[in-house]
Amino acid sequence: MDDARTRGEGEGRGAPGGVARLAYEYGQGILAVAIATALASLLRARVAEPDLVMVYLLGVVLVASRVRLGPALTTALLSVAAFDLFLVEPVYTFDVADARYVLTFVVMAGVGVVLSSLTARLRLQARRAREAEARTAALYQLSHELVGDDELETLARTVARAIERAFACDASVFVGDEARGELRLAAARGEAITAPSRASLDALGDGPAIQESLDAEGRALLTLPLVGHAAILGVVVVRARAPGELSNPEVRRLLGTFVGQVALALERSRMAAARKDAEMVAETERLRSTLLSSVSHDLRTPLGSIMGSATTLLDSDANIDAATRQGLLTAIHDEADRLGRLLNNLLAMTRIEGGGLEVKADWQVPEETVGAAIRRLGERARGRAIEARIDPAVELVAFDGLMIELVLINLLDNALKYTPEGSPIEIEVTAAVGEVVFAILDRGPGIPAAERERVFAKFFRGDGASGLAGAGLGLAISKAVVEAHGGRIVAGARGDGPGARFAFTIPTSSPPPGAPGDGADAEAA
Amino acid sequence: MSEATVLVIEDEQPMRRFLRALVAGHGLRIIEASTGAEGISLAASHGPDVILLDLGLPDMDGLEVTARIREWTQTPIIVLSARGLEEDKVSALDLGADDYLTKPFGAAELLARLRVALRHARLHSSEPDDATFRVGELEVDLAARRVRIRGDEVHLTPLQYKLLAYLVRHAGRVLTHRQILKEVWGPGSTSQDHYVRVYMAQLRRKLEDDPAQPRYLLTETGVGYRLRAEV
Repeated sequence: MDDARTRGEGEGRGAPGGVARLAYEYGQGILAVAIATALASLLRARVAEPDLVMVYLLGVVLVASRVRLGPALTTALLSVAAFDLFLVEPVYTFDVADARYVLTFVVMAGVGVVLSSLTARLRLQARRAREAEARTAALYQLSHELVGDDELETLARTVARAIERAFACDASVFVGDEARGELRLAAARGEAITAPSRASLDALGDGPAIQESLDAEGRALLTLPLVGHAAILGVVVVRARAPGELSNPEVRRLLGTFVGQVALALERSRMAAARKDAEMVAETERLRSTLLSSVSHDLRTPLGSIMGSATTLLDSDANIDAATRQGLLTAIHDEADRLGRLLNNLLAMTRIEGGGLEVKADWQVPEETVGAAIRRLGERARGRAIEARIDPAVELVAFDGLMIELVLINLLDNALKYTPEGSPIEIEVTAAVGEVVFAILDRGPGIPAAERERVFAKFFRGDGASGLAGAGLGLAISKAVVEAHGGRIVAGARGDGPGARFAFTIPTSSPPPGAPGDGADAEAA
Repeated sequence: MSEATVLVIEDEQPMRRFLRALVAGHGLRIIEASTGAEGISLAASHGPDVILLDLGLPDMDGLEVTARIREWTQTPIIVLSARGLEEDKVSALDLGADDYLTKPFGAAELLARLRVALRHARLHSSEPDDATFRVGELEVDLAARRVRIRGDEVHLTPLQYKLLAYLVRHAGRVLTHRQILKEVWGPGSTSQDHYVRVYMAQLRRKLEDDPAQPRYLLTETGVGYRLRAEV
């Protein structure tokens, strides 16, 4: 039997919209009586009168097992009337003597009542079972959906949607705002519900699990607390969409379970946030101490050379020839230069660590950024052949010019530092699908496969790096910058012989609006 | 550069000592101020040929000093700034400063900037538009609107030429994206920095041997461009 009632409708009462259904049920009764009468008329000659009643009884049983109480009783009454009218002598009349069929009617009516109420109960149970099943499924789905969510707002939205879907009611989720001590609306489905006051929330703490009231239109308004480990985290308020709905205890029990799930998820999310904070503090602390030891070493070394060279020059007793003097002065200059670079990287790292890495992307010409980076190497690149190959297909790319220049400088610096004097360095910029690839290739010893991931870690320094300047920050900064641009950075082998290849990508999008210049400025052929 | 006067506005004593030694060592006169207010009054009373201005002064913002000095004189101002404040440099340049140096800087860099500033200061009265500009193998004849590289004439589109000519007239000085856009494309396009980048790339392709390692058209990342005035 198909259930014509709308989803989520009340608990076993006839729906106002069921007129058609009612007419259908009465029709079934009338049809059964008509068939029984026809059948009985055919059998009349050969069968005794009381047995003919059985034909009608069969009709009543069949109908009552399918319809509600009203149509069942009507069928019984009609059966008795039809039997009396068409089959009992004198036919086509209701005789006073026919009062003896009252008993027949009572039996038929009794059978009808028992059967139809049994049927109704069965049907109700079946529907409740189906609804319970649907809600259990919804609950199951909810608990699944809640697992992935850590964000409070997403969590609240998921919950409100799940409740609306499973119970066909309005649902709003309020969470406690610790700072202001008030309830804040986190998500709402259906019509808006005003936030319960803090006082009512406090009262909730000691009261029953579900607070119930009726709104002005007689619809049930249920307030369910989100009980956390130590405190009430918030409330879920649901409102029936029609009077009488949401009154089934089973529904409330399920709602309670729903909300319990939510409270758990909320608690989990808060704990995750707290844990993340704690981890961050620990990581910052660890970084600070590593940084301090690394920096004090890397600052003191060049400072030591500067101090030593300067005091030697100042020492009037020392017998210094012109070449030595020049060497000391050069040392002061080079070491100061090194200090300056270290400081730049430290500043960049501080900005990145402080979460202040703000990408100011602009339409850039990669060739120009590469050129600026090479020029910034200055004296350090002397005696090195640096070849830049820029794919002509690479045009404007959106990135932060200063930051990518810093990445290129760090990668080039690295190549200069870890490769033999006089060996060449190449820079390649190529267009790929959806991105531009910048690669720096050298002819040095290369990077051992085991170290290709670790080189990007803070304070990592390759073997053979002892005695070389730098706090191991350059590659870590490069990685942070590239990733802030939505790109990737990798270290690998150059492939055609020994040497390292560092490559990073910058995603490309559609070129900027408006062609620079105008039609009048076209190139002459 | 003889007998020109340089006003140094800088609060750090060791920095002033270094500047004094260098400037005096190259035959220039030096007057010194340690605060912005003192600097402004010395600029008014002594009429220096070049001003070296530290952006981090104790009494007032270096940008304000720039703006105040620019109220009455076009004396070249070279701003000295600590690294990491590209915005400050651009602001100072847009306010009328002529160039900048990032601390730490070397003697050679400072002298090159001073030479350019003094040359521009001297040429300010008599416009050099009839002059032919030469640097390395690049030759720009502003009167004949002719550009040569290694003696071979280079054809430029009108906008490319306009851009190059603007750089030539301010050779050796940094020009911000904003200044270039305003001058070459007009006041309406000052937010389209990439116009300049695209045209600069085109110029490099025509004028440089290796556009990725330019000799003449230099990039000051985050600030603007500079046409090299001396090789």
